Amino acid sequence: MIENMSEKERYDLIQVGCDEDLGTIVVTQAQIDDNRKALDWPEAPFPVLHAPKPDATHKLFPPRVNARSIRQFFNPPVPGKKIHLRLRIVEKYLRGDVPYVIEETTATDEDGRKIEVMTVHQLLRTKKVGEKWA
Amino acid sequence: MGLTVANIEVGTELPPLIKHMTLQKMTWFSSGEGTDKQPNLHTDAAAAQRDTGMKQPFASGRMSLGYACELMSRFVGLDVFSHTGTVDLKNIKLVMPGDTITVHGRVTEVKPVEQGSLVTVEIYCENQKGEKTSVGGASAVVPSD
Repeated sequence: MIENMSEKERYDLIQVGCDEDLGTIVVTQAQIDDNRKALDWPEAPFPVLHAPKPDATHKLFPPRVNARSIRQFFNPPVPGKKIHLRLRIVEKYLRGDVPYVIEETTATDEDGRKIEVMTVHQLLRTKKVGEKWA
Repeated sequence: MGLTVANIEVGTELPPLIKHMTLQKMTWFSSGEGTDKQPNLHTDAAAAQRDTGMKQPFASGRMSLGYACELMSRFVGLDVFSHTGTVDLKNIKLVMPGDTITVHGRVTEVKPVEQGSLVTVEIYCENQKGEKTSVGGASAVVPSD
């Protein structure tokens, strides 16, 4: 169904203001260690928190590319604690004729501590990357 | 002397941070992406070609954001940054395996707030050719004492 829709039809289905429960994850020490190795920063406290299920926009546009990221930190995640992720569609826009969506994900752990708020401007026409840089 | 609000001045340049990008680091960073944990455009050439038309994978922009976090944590302290820090980076050029990225920061504002001072830093990353790859800023609230 979705694969037969045009980019514009899929873009029009994105609902600004939509709020979604993305489920619960548990950050492991191995994830924290991988993040530290990746960044060459032995103290790095905040691995990227990946949702256990795709959000609605991801179903419409499976590959996306981050054009801009904003991360606001409150408390480092504790390995083994459950973290709940909630996503809100903040905005969608066209730059030229290229579609983007702004998504804000809030992470809160099982003790009610806010971990971080991550806002990402996602480029939805990912072939644009190759057109510009390949 | 440690960092205090009293010795943070607008115009202060943060010591630059230098990072070398490799495919292994990109894989450590991005292999958890996607609900199916499949190879993706940051870890796999075929996925990069299929999804973006690039011949090889390129680094997630969030890696540069992570570098900016380290730059800020070194400046204001890890504990301060981990509880009050914000980073906002726009990716303007791809970072590829083999690139060397230097992260630069300069204090642009120090503003009193209830818990101390909000320190704002202009940040950019550049590659080994001197081309900017990310631009933006960061902030943290440095306690008064």
